[in-house]
Amino acid sequence: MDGIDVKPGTALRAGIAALGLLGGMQSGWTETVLHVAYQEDMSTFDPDNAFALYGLDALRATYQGLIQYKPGSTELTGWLAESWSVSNDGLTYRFRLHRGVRFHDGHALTASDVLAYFRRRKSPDLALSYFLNGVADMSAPDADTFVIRLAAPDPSFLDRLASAWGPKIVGPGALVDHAGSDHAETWLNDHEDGTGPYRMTEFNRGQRYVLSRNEDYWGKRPYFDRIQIEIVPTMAQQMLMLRKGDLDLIQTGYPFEQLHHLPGGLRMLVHDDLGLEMAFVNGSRRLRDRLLRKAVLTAMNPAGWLDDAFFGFATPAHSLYPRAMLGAPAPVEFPSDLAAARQIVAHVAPVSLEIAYEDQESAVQQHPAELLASALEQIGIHATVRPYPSDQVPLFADDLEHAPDLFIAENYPDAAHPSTQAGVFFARTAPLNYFAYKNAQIDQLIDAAALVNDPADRDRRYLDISKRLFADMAFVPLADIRGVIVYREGLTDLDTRPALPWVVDYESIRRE
Amino acid sequence: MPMFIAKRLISLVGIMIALTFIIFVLQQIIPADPARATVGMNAPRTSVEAKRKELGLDQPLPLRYGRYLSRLLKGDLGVSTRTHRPVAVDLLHFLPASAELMLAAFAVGITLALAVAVPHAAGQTGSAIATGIIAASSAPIFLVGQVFALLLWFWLGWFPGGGRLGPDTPAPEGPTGLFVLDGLLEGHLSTSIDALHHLALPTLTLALPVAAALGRALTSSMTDVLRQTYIRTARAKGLGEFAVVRHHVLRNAAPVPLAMVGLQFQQMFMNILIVEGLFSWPGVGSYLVKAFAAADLPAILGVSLAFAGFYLVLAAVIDVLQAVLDPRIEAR
Repeated sequence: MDGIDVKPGTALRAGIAALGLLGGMQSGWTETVLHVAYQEDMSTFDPDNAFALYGLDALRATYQGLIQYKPGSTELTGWLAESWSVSNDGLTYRFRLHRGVRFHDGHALTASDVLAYFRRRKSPDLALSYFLNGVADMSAPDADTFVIRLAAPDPSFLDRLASAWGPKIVGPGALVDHAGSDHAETWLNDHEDGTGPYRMTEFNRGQRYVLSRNEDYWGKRPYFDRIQIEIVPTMAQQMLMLRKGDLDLIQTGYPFEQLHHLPGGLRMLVHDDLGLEMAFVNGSRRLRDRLLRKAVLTAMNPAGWLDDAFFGFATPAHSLYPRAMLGAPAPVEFPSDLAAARQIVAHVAPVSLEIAYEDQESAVQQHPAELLASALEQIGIHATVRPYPSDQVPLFADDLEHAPDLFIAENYPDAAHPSTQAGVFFARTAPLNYFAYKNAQIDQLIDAAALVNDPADRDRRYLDISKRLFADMAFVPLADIRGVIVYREGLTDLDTRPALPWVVDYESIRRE
Repeated sequence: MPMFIAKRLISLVGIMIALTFIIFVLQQIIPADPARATVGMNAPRTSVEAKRKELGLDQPLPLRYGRYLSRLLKGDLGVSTRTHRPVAVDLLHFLPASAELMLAAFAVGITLALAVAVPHAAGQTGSAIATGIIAASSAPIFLVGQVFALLLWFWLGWFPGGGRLGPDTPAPEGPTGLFVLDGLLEGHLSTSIDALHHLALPTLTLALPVAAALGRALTSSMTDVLRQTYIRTARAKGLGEFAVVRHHVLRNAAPVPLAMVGLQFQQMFMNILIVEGLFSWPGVGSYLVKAFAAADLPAILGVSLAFAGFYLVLAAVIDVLQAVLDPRIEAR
């Protein structure tokens, strides 16, 4: 019998050529299509349920809220509301709507539509309904005016409206025609009816999303005909696609160590965001000892390891608030007497600590965690580094004795107001107070600061809270990490906003 | 034979019920909070508690298991806490991509296995294909996939590096969800060819371990069969070598590699978790990885159950096929 003799040359090449010619070897690159990628799929396209970071850019391109942050700042400006006013008692917010705005189904925007939407948003079944906690009443006195009345003054309320996860108006085409029995949740999972510059024209979960320009858009006409979003889970592949021209930009996750040696044809935009690298200290285990905590703090001083961890794309933190949120004058001062720290450790030796981070954040957190462990070794502490599944991290507080000693993370608050940082991390009932830190005095200070309207007074109070927390060594501010977008040469006007993580404004971006 | 099949079916149902229990208990043991996963990390604790009640997570375990089983009987796998859609709907959306990839990988794997085994059994050792397949399959699958992607996509540009279709090819809306087939059914040949083009690299990556394992088993099995006296008799009767292999060798050598098909399916399911990620393939593997990351228990349970069910059915079919090929199995 003859052996099988496959000659890889002719047949293989012919097959590939045929596939290539018939299947279209050309990538779908055209000048007016913007190609971007997500490492993770978006969970839902419902603006009232979508709390994940991936998808925020697409949501923002299709839906709009009443107010927003200005590009590159945390200053508020109108969006669907052309102006707004707040009553003297801080309870009533009156929004004047833009005229001539149409939803993607053609329906003209009125205050009644905004009211119907906000009523939906308040439904406790929806994940992001908590943004409207404290709203007592809403009304639409005329077609252009929408009014919200709060139960108690809340100076952060406007920031909550402008948040990346804040309310974005859904049209009656969805809320009425597709209401079903679940506030249109089912329909809005993969459809949209917004007012934004783009419409979602293809929603292929797990694979591809296509935004097409809304030709009836009420604002400035965006440059790109289409925004094509592919799901590409590995960063290595995204980087190759960017180099090959199959992608136009990578919004987040490009490895810091490679940013100083970008291949030709690629550019980067370094911008401020609200990502703050912080360490949470478990004061119920080994670090119950205050002196030992001080020694650990001495070794943790980020000035010693920050550049090695973030390659120049992070600066020592100035407080427990990101600098784009609250500008403290100088970096936090860590104790610096390493000899004294060694003595303290020697006195209570042996000391072993566990440093934890979320496994999904390994690309960013593993290196800093290892550098921290190495810094602790220098004062005689044996530190181990361990990634935890992200669903286990919120459970640390349930079993502090078996939780890690330190947890490091880059966190994003809901909005640019400092109360969203203090309320999420530092208060006794804060959802991300991982090690259940309790301090009644701090809680009182947080409650009092949340009512202050004057920005200077407010910031002074929040900085005071930060200093007290640091002095108590419950939370350790480490670094302001900068956002970096890597893009292909030729793209311009990449507007970003510090309070909108990983979001490039598709309304402004264009190709030269 | 009907009795044999009936026994297999009864044991299959029993195993499935036991499996639902094991998977359910395992998910209860794993420290995770589906309520927190549903409302997001920054949501206040009051929202988490409200969601916990809504999801019935405050109910006793036996009650939750009972409800889970009763819903299961109606085909309701629950609602994914990540995608906010019924898990059954998600499965129907993601399963075809995985099925297409696995079918293609099995077809290529079996073809390559035959290409390894038949010449080897015929005395031609050390063929280039066999050496290549064994060398490639001895490396970790993520490395093999990355090498294919770098070489055949990034450098040579012969194949696409990811996804099921090119950016300008609309997804077919055909009945099966298998893009190659649906393209043909809709009369869009270019869609089918584009889909085949995108299938190439993940298929090859996934097929190599199958080819190596089945190739080795088939080679060994065929070598044994070729030594049997009835093969000598067949040759002595004047049968050609092709007829001997086709009618006598392959049929008698088949039961061992056939038994391995089930194991290979199991291995392939583990491998698609990696391969789908490497090639941005929107299948059940990618869905499951994301479900684990988000503590999406209904999705994890649903996918596990679906794959376990499929595996058990496949195992039963293989048992029956083996019994057909070798009646001694049924007699035992």
